Amino acid sequence: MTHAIAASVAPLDTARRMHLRNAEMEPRTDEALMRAYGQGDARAFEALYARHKGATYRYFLRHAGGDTATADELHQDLWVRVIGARERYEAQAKFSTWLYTLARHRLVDHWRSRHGVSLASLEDDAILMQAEESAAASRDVDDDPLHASIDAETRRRLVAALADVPPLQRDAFLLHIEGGLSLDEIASLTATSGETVKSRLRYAYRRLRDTLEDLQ
Amino acid sequence: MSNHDRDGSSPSNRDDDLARAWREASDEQPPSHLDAAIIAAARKAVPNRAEQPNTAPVRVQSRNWLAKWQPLAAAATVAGLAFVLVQMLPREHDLAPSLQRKEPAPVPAAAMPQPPSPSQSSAAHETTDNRQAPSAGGTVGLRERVAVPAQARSKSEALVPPPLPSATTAKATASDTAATTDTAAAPGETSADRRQAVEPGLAGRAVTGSVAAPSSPARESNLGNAASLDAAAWTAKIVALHASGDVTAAAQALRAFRAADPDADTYLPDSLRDWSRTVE
Repeated sequence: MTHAIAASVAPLDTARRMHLRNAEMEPRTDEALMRAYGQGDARAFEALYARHKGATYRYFLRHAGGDTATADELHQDLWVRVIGARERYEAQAKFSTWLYTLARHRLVDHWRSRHGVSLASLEDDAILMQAEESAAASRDVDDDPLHASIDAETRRRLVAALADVPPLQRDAFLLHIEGGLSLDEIASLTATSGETVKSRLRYAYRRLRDTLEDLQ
Repeated sequence: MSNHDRDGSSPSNRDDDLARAWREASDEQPPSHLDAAIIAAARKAVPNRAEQPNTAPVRVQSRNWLAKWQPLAAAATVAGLAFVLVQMLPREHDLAPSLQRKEPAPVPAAAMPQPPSPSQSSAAHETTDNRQAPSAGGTVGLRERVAVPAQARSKSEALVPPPLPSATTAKATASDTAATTDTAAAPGETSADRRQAVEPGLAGRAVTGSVAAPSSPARESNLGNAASLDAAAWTAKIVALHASGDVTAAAQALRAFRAADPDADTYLPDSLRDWSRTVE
């Protein structure tokens, strides 16, 4: 099943290859780039942004159920916060952990302003249903002409499957798969235990596999 | 049950495949206008030096170099100008030799009773210059003529001996030449006579022709010129007049001398002190 999925979406890897090429051209670590930007090196920020912009954008886009306007707003707010925090930044943890902490805070603010709830309270099924309905109302993921040549059905199913995953499980999945954070880092970021993170991830993977069962 | 459930720690191979498939399928990027806005905000948030990292430090370094060396350069310029100005000014040793040459060896109390006439003075001046020219050169002579103060020049002129008559020239010694300047002396007068005329001690024994019996107009002229005489000349003149018996003229000369110098009486010889006290 998964080999078939990988083969069908192979052309979509172009953006990630560009990201990797960008990272190879700039040998400095994320932390060094952020410190350099804090000291006034705007080019360091450009390299840093090129490395992480896709992942953070997709993090917001998946949480927003494919609503690009919301994703744009959240993405821009996140990076404006990064810019504003350039002089306060201290490399006590991985830059990506710090970055997704900011992203998650921004997302919580968004949910709170939209639905009057926090991300942590979404364990409650009633609130979960409310958030899911809001996200489902703006789901539209196949309007990008770049994706016309790939297996649109596979892509739609993957995105829709993740949209059906409860927010906290989805959040753990996105932090893991888009942000590249480890279980411990996600646990630290979300102020939960490692076991809880592991459980959320397990749940998210199972939901995705179940959704895509019929592609085998 | 997934592999998560089995090992409880890391995703299984199936989850890895699912994650890879997800990453390959999920490639959305922020729109380019959003990228541009964020990059612009990032650039605006930092100083401009980040946009020109190679040129800004050079400019700052150049400004620092100017600030560091400008005071030193200014001080060096001022010192150089001062040195050039000092070099351009006439030095003391350029003037000193001419003064020393023109000033005679210690002049005895004697002085001329009358100043030389303008023509004689001019002749004497020319003589002095002619004497200096061979030793100092034309340029130096000209410079000295310009640079020597008027007082020093008149003094030197007064001390230069006038041309003596041929009959007495052989008898005149160097000291006589330096000490006597009585240009009004009679042609037959010797240097010994002139010495007697100016020395108070000899005043009673010798009388020079010029001061022995001056005519009234000549005496007026002498008195009129008295203001320009120095103390020795005044003294010699008064002594001569007194010795010649012209007490009135001597008294007038003494008064004129007093007018020119309040301490005139102190210059008189002891023999005339008692007489000077009677002159009001």
